[in-house]
Amino acid sequence: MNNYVYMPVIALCCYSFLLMAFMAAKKSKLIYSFSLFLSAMILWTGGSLCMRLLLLPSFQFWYHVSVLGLTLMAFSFFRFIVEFIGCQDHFFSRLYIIIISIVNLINITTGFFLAPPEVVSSKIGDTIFVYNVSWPVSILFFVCFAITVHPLFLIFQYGRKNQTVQKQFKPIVFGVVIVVLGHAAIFIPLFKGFPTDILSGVFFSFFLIYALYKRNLFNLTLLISRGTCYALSATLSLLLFSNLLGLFQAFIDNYLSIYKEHSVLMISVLFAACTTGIYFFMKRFLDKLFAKEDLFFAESLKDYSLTVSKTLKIKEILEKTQDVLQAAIKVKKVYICVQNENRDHYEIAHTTSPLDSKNWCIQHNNPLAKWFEKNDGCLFVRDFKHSTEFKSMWEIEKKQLDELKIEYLVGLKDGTELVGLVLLSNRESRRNYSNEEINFLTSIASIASIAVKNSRLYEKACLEAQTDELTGLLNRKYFYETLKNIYNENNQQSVALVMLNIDDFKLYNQLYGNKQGDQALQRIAGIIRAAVGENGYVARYNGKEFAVILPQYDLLGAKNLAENIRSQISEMNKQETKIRLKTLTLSGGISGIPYAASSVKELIDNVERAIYHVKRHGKNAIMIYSERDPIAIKGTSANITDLHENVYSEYEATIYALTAAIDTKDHYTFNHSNNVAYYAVELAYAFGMNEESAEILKEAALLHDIGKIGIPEQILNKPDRLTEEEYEIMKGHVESSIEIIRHLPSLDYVIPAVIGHHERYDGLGYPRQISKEDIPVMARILCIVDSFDAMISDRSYKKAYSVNRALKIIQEESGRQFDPGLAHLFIKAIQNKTITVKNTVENVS
Amino acid sequence: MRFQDKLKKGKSEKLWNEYCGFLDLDINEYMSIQNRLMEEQLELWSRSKLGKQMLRGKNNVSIDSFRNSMPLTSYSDYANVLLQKKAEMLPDQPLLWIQTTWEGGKQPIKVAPYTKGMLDTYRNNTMACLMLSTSHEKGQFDVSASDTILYGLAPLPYATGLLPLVLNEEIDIEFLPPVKEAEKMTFSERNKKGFKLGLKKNIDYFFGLGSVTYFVSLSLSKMNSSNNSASDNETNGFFEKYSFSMISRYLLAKIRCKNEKREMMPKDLFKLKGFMVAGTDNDCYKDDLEDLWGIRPMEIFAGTEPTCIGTETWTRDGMYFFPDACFYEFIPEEEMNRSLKDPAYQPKTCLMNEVREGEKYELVVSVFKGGVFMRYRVGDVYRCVGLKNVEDQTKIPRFKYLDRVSTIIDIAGFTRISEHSIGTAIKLSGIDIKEWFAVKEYTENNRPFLHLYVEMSTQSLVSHAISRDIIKEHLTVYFKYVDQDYKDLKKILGIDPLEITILRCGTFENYKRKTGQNVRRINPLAHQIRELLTLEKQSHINQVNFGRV
Repeated sequence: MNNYVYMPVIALCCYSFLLMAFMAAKKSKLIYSFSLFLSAMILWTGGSLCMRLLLLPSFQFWYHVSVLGLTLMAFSFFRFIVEFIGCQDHFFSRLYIIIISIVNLINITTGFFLAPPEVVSSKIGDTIFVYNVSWPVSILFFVCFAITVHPLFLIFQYGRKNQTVQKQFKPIVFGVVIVVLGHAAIFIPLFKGFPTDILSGVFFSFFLIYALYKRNLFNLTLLISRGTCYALSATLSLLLFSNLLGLFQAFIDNYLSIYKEHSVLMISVLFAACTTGIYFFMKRFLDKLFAKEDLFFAESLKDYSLTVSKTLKIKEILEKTQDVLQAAIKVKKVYICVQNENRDHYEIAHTTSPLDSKNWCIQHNNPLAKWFEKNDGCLFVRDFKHSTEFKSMWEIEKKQLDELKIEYLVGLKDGTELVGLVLLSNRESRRNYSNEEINFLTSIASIASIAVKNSRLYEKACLEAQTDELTGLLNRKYFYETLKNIYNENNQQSVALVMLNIDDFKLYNQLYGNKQGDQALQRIAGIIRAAVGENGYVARYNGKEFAVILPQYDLLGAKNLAENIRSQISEMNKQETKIRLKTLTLSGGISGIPYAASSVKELIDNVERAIYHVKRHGKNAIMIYSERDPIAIKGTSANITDLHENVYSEYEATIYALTAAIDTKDHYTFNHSNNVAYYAVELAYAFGMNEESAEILKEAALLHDIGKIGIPEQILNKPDRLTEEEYEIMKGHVESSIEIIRHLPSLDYVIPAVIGHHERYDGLGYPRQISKEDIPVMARILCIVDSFDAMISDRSYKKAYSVNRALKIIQEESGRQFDPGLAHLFIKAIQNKTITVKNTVENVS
Repeated sequence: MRFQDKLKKGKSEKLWNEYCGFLDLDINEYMSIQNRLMEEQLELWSRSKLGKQMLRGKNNVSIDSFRNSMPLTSYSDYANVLLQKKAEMLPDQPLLWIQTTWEGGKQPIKVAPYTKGMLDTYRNNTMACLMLSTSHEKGQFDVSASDTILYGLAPLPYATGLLPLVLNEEIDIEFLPPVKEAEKMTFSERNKKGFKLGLKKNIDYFFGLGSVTYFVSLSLSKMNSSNNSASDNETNGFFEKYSFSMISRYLLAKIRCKNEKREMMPKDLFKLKGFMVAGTDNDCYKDDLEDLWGIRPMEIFAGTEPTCIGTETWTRDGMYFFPDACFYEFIPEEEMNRSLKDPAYQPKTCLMNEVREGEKYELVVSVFKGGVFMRYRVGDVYRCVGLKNVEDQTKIPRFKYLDRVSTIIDIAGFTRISEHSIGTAIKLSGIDIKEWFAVKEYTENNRPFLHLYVEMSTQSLVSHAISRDIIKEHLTVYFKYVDQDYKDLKKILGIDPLEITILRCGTFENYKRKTGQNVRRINPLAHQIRELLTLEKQSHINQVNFGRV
């Protein structure tokens, strides 16, 4: 055996293996054309080999097979290129097949182009094939050459149009060059005796495979099918036994002669066992060689899919996604962005390390997000940089990508909606992404998209069902559920319940408006949450009441915690700098199982009673309560508030004392306050207020200018227009009034009316510049009647206006300074004398 | 570029200069870094809402005016903002919130924000510590990406959990067991797993609190002996559990110990490259640890509020403060004592270039890079052990960590016991203790413990069963109730650090009558204790004499 046998055998094995593999691969026209090419190579190489081995039926037959293979090789290469570049060329295909058929028919029948060689024996006994080469052989070669050059021309043309795919053709062109060189090398003396043409054919095949692979047309690992293994193991077994059959037979004859009759059976069993062994060996070997990465990906995918299907917690899903991507793709960092609630940006939801910056997001209109909205799959940043979309990237967005070293992006899409983005940074090695890795990423993305969407829906539903929208704490319904669960879980352990009720919160809302009230609730919720931390559950029990469930807490621990919260909240508003807000206090109740209650219901009842008790005894305290025995009351508030009706009578004297005080300093203000009180009460009744509200309004009217006690007399009675500075001092009387009233226990209910009586309906008043219905209704009433009385009074700086003029001004200012509804009501009441105009000392009307 | 990439390029000298180059600074260069970074920090801090709130309208343009006008701070000054994590009020956006316990359970927790700049500095300084822990001389270190570390500290959100994260950002050093697994394990499981993995892969570094590393080292020794018995009784199980490399490592160590006729120690199994300890009371354990591991631990200083601020070097002779972590101020001992007596007093501070050799100082820090704590009393006391060091070839002051400030008793770096926590435990216990004071003392083996001297009320002596053991048992239970860390002390380290001495009734009153002052409740001065104990004995003698008369 010489090189002309070894080389074709090797080449033949390669071609056969590849052909079998591609037969098992996913079929396409391109794969078919490549299979045709491999078949042509088998015909050429196999024919040549059989000819040289002088196999039956005759060497001439194998010679013609070989020539047919050679000519078909050129044609199949043409077909391959046509399919590769995707052009339609039926004419040339048909033309070439006709030419090839004619050439082969002529050659077979006449030997016109190149007749079969003559077989002669050399002096040393070798078989030599002698060709009688004449000029017609050039026709044969020209035909093959022309058919081979044509596809090269097509590649050239296609490459000019599509510059980006030029590099895909490089391996093909290299292959052709090698085939040409291989055939030319036969004529070089140096290679005499070595079939360079066959070797070049092998190389050519592999170059074409590489071209296919680079174009991601097939997965290398998918070529290794069970069928391939069967075929290979059968071939190997056949070769093995065809060579060793004689030896086995001889062995059985010599050493196992008693079993001679069963020799066929024994050899068959051995053959079957060997075939099976070879099959398993081949399978493992090929798996290791080709499918190792694939198996890893498949395992990772399976594991990932299983894990994310078991959870609905988005945190766990994102963590697992990051883990699987880092393990499989070996990227340094993974950033996962998820669409926010408002769907206007993708916020960073998970990163590889807790140390990674989370202070960035991808806006919804970021070109990257837009790209993923239009396209499916994954995106290389380097490719994106060459796209038109990239032109609309902001510099800050580009910088962000560069800083994070993002190389690859994966979109998490739910149908057409982009629910998230996975950003992969640079890899640990500088390896490019393989076809398998891209497929893996796509699979992960599709599983993650669904998992993220479902978990977000679930978490959102849970959040909505379980939490309070304003504070983010547990809502009342979920509080009950949690408390019951905790009670059941801690059967042998203690559970403490704390409820904290904000004192006078209605007043706070009236004073500063509902917006400030909501902000206060949020701040209080924040304080309670921070203080409780991981030790318990915090809920908003009702509008102004919070509940804290403390598993495994005793009453002392719960009381310490509640006191801690209470002291933080009492300090809360002292830090505000812009507006001085009322100090908020808490009344709290505590009870615990098993110390003071034995059921959930009893626990809640006890705590509610404790709060009631604290409220009745002066608020601003925490109380531990047991139904039978109030355990302890600890309070800091000096306020002992009873019902309001008692308070009125109790503080009536104080109010008159204060107004009398101002009378000594400024007689006008004293009279003015009395008049305003009268008008205010009358307007309140006209408006439909009840007696209690009218009483509050009366107190407020009497006290509304009490702050003027602190204004210097020269400003109060200045005959000229006030300077800006003096006016500022004068404006301060509102806050001074509040400062005074604040110190009157339980008179703070008049503050909303007093503080707002210089506010304007259009929001241009002082001190808080609130507008419309944000101004408490009592303050709006005071504003009208205060202005009216001031207008119809004689003052040091102006003469009194007539009632009609005053009413006209009120009419004009209706909707600007005054509430239009109340102004209209007041004008009407004066005009029809439901409200009588009071005669003051200075009144001249 | 990561540390390990630079390492691959073989730039050892450059790496040394980059991370440990601060050791070559002279004091002027050091102060220039301090001042420049403090200017940046002042700018950031005073612009923040928190800064404005704390400065109360004062505009501090220079470091000097800031030091003059801004009082020293403690955590309660920041609590309202930090506990609610009001990031919008801070000088810079925090990346992480680190958590720790606060005043031994008086308050639940305290949290500290870490900005990106702080974390970058933390990372570089931690790398410097890692390098220095392996060095034997200036410029030499032995760090490799394939190294392994046995890590005995708590995970995030505690400050100690930052270390694995920052280290792994720079180098693929392997944690034994991996951090993600370790987080889910108990302390003992983590040690066992770490030991097993260590046998397989060797342990190159060991890092933890001094007390914890000592406890872990003893556990490893015990694991050796348990393996020994396992190999006798359950040979098959043993071989199934451990690989060939592990067994061979173990057998070689066994033979060596047999030849040297001694017990097996961790140093026989593992060859450490670097050994780092943090926390208090490290001095109590250093010698034993060196004996166990064959390498003297290098002390570093890191805390939740100040970050990683100091390290020892190859000489293990005092710590150097990193110039870029915090702005350091030092309260001299006299001033410190004066402020202890009068909490309203604002003690004067000196800077790094003003410290004196041999003096004791309380540390005050202002955290750089958008940190929130300014002129913050960390509560640690150091002694300046030198302004220059020929051996280290340094020209900047170096310090030795002494202990917490005397109002706090810290046992083994685990718990911070204050007058409040002892008072609460006594009150809760219901034991009628009339007077008491507590001192941190050391056993003969140089182990720290809390020595509580109590005087019982006379009435309770006849109505209650009172003995030293009863008081100890009672108070231990209540210490555990009020202080989670105290509970951990027993649970993790198995330490029971309380000792009780019952003083004769009337001793405190006698002392006050004689000296005119009360004894400080926590860590009274040594002479005060001596005097009080002498008085107790004298009164006993007097009584005996009186009896004779």
